[in-house]
Amino acid sequence: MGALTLHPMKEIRVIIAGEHRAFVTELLDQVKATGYTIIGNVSGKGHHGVREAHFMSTEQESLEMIMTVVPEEKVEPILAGLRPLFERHSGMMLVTDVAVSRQEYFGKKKKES
Amino acid sequence: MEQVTPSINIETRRMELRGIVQLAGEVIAQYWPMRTFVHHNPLHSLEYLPFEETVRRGKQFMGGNGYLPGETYRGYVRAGRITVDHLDAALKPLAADAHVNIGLRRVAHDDVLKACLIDGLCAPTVEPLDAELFDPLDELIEQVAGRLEAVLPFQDLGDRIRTIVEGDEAALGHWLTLSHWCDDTLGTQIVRQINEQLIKWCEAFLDEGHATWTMPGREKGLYGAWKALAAHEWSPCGIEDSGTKISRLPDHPEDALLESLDALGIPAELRQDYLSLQLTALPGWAGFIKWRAEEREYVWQQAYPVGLVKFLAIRLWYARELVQKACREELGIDGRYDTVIAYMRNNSEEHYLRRQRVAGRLPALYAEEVDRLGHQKDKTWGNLIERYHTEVVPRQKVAARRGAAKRLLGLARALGIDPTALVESEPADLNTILSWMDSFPESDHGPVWLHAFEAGYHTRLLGQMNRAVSQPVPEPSALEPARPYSQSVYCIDVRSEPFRRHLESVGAHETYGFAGFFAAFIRYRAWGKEHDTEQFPVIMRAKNEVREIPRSYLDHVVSRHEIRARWIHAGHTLLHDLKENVVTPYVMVESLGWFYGLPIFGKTFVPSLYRRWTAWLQRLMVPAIATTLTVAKLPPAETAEMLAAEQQAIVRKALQELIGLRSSRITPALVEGLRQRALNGEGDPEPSFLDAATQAGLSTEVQGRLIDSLQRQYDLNARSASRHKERITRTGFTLEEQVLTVDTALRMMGLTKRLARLVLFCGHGSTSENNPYESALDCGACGGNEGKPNARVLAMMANNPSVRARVIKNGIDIPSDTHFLAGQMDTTTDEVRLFDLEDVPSTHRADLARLQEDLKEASELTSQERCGRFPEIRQPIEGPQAESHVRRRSSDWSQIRPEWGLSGNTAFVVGRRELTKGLDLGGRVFLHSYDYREDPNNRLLEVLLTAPQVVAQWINMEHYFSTVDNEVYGSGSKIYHNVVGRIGIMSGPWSDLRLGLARQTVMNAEVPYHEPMRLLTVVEAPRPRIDKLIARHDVLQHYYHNEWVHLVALDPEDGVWYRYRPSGEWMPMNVDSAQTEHHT
Repeated sequence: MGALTLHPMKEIRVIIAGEHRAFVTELLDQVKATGYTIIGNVSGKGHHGVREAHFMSTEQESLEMIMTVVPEEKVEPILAGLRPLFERHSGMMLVTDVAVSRQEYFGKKKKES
Repeated sequence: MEQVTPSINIETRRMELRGIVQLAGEVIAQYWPMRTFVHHNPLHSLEYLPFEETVRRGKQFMGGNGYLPGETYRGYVRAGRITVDHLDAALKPLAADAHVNIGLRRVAHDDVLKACLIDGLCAPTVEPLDAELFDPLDELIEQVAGRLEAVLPFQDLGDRIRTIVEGDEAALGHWLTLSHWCDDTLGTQIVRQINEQLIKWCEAFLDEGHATWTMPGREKGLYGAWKALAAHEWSPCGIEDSGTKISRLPDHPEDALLESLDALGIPAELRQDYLSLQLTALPGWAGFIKWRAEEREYVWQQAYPVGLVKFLAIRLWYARELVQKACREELGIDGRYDTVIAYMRNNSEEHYLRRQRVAGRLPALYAEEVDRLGHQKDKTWGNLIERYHTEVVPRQKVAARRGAAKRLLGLARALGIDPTALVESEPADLNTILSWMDSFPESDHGPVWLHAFEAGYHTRLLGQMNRAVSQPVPEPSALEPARPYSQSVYCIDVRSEPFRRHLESVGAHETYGFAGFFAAFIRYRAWGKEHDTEQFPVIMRAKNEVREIPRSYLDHVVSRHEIRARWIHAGHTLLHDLKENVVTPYVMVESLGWFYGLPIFGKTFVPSLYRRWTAWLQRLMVPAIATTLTVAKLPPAETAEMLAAEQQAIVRKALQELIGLRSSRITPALVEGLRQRALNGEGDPEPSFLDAATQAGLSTEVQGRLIDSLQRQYDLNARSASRHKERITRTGFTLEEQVLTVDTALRMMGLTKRLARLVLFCGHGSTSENNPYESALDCGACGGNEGKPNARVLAMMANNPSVRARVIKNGIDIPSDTHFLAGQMDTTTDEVRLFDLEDVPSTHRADLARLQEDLKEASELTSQERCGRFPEIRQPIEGPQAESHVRRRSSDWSQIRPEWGLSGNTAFVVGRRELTKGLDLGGRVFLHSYDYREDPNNRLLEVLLTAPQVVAQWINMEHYFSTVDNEVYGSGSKIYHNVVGRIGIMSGPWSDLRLGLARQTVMNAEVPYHEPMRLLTVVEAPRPRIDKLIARHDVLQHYYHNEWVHLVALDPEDGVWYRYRPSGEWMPMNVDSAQTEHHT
């Protein structure tokens, strides 16, 4: 059994209103992130109050969480693209450190040793 | 804590620019393609501002008026539609408690304001020859003007110049682009030139199958395609060396946009507004591009990507080149933000004169001088200003005094004061009156008129509803059955209201209102069609797919149907291709031209007959087959079968396309074998497969290539197979989902007990000929499609015994003998058709027959009522004649107004039917059934106010703005409409994509038919509940606090009507008397 190496990457988590989902996914595609996960119809509480999901909520009222794992150099462009959005609209984003075992899968080129 | 070190690398700048463009794009509204017309508020993105402010901004950004012209409102006053009492009430917040004396008469501030409104004193019509003709009042005017000489303020020329320069400086970048500035100052046509170029490229690129010769290179995206083609153009708009410049542009549109913004010198903090301004120059095309950029699944978008960034990159390149050229040629400066501001500061007099010249405000002599100086570039502007100051300004002063005097005389006449008294009044008093009039210019009259206009309608409607509610409930007579004959549920659309009223009058039927998609969020594919339609409001999302399939006992009919349909489709395609071919005119016209005469004469002279005949012909050739919907989830075996069938079809297609194998030689064994090989990859081939392959004459090498391309090109491999399977399993609803849908729907309507034997869910659609706005007449709640699929889905779900059992367990009492039906009302012909009648149990035959009879009678009554509203019909017409009239209207291809549609909509009522039963609401009110007693945790009211109310508000605002300014916010007259690219409409051959509704939809000749008023929402629920919802939802705060929507509540706890003030408090209303209080 070989040793399992973990490589550090960054994860970006964004919570926004459903109507902005297309913009965020387009942004991630432009940055050439390898992929993202979308969890729809989340409920929660924030600066603008409690928001609960209902199956008949409109896009404006529903909340979605979009998560993506990217190499470190892609974090800055993504944040730069999202910053104008959060100046006007409610939502939040955070960046965490994660480790993955298949770094090529998430877009990080293997260092030539 | 980590620091993310800010580097100015290009990727970051690009993404930041994308974010800025996204926000800049919020100024324009999305534009859905006309196939699914969506009514929306053209100023939707500015709803966070108060209504009046937004309307002002709309005027600034797009030049559109927000209110009807003063003359129209004055006409309403004369006709009694607006009462003087309501005007007084609307003026109260504006009127100070001040008065002056004219002669012996005391004149109060509000008298003056009222006279301004009613007599149109602030915008007197000035005839050009007034100055030449003799005016009998001339002497009086001179005298009054003399009194004013000492007191009337007149701005010094130097001050005026300074104000204008400061104004322009502040506006540049915020309200004014450099291109507009050049047009205003230098008299160029830059904005028009840029628009022309952009329209040309957008029209060519965004075409969706309408053009015969399509634009090449569209796969590269809008920017890439433009770059490739424009580099070959010869100097567009007179830009020198354009070919080299364009080919030297960067490959990424973001980089090109950044380059242009830098070249224009736009400071970073102004960039977002500047880009917004660029977008509002062509709101139609930009709106459509915005919509397309968000629809990533849209076929055309995937093939030919387009987005606002690409659009702006192209636009700003033209802007920067043209501005640079104009500034260099005319002023000798660079076309940059900072140089332009410096120019204005240092050459303010020159700037003033140039601006006035372009605006046409200089006398002819001076205009010529300005032109001469402009070309000479010598610095004698100072002399010109001196001359202007000495010669022209004094004349302006005199004219201003005379104008003021005339206004005072007009006021005196309006108030019934002897004009000579003006000469005896104090000049200071006269000045006060003038300043009152000046601070209430015609542009400020709109909001006041609107309030008075709305008050008139609100009083009437609420008075009606109050009467209905306070009437004592009549004792059920012995003749009336305890159980209603039927209950039917209609869309909240205003057109359902007359029909519901008539149906209730015809028999013991109960009606309910519910948003037309009936809580069924489905993506629907009809039988024989290749595209899905999204049957729910555009502000929501769906995840269930439903298909229409033939009923299983009709297999033989189905195959015959399919073959015939394929023949007809082939015929259509052939005809269409022939029409587009170059040779056709020389050959086909004589041989087949006569055939086209049949439709022309038929459709023009006997439209109803022609339509009946073509329908009969179609039924003969391709008989309709009974269908049902895939509402339930497919069992796994069927899913696997469906997947296999799809894959086999792909293999067949591949064999035909790649190898050209004739269908007779394609055996099932071969197809199956290839399919297995493509899915399973390695391994030894089956002997049966090898046999079949050799029989078909395929060598091993060809087999290998075939399998390879099946896996890559045709996407037939193991991974994509699991994806396809997942998509097929998305068809239909699980039992849980079905129970949730039925439960929510019934609870929201309040239909939880005393169900009748027949419950009808009735969607709506419309029929018209030659009408690009067809979809606007269909159901907005169903995304601009007809409501039939949703009604059928909900009925099927509710009839399902397992679903019913669970719903009953949840507490809704559905009797065992209740059957749910689906139907659709055609709002143009008022005909109601019922579907899936094969599923009606035989015990209900009599009920069904009675229902159908009553529906027919209600249709006739509704047609009769509606015919009374068409302006062409002077005499009232009776039932059967009315029916044939509406039928003819719907099949007439020259009819620009097949029905009035949603014009006239005013209010949205959320409450029980008892509030509105029996009232003639004129087909103007959205009615949604709601019983607050069934909604203890407020969830249902929450959905109602955040979803159907939003749809109603969008419809209301679309009609409002299209009526008040049809040229800017509407789409103009239908006569000039030109369908473009299958997506939208232009006026004439070359214009912005038109948004909004056509003139004929909202106006009746010159007079508005639709009364533009803001939506009035009436809710029957306890006030604390409504307060809680408002606190939780931004959209409700925007609506009620910013006065986009009026809110009135009927509190069931005390039976009092309350009005919600924008400050957040509830004001009790006195509804019975003809007054509603307007307190500040």
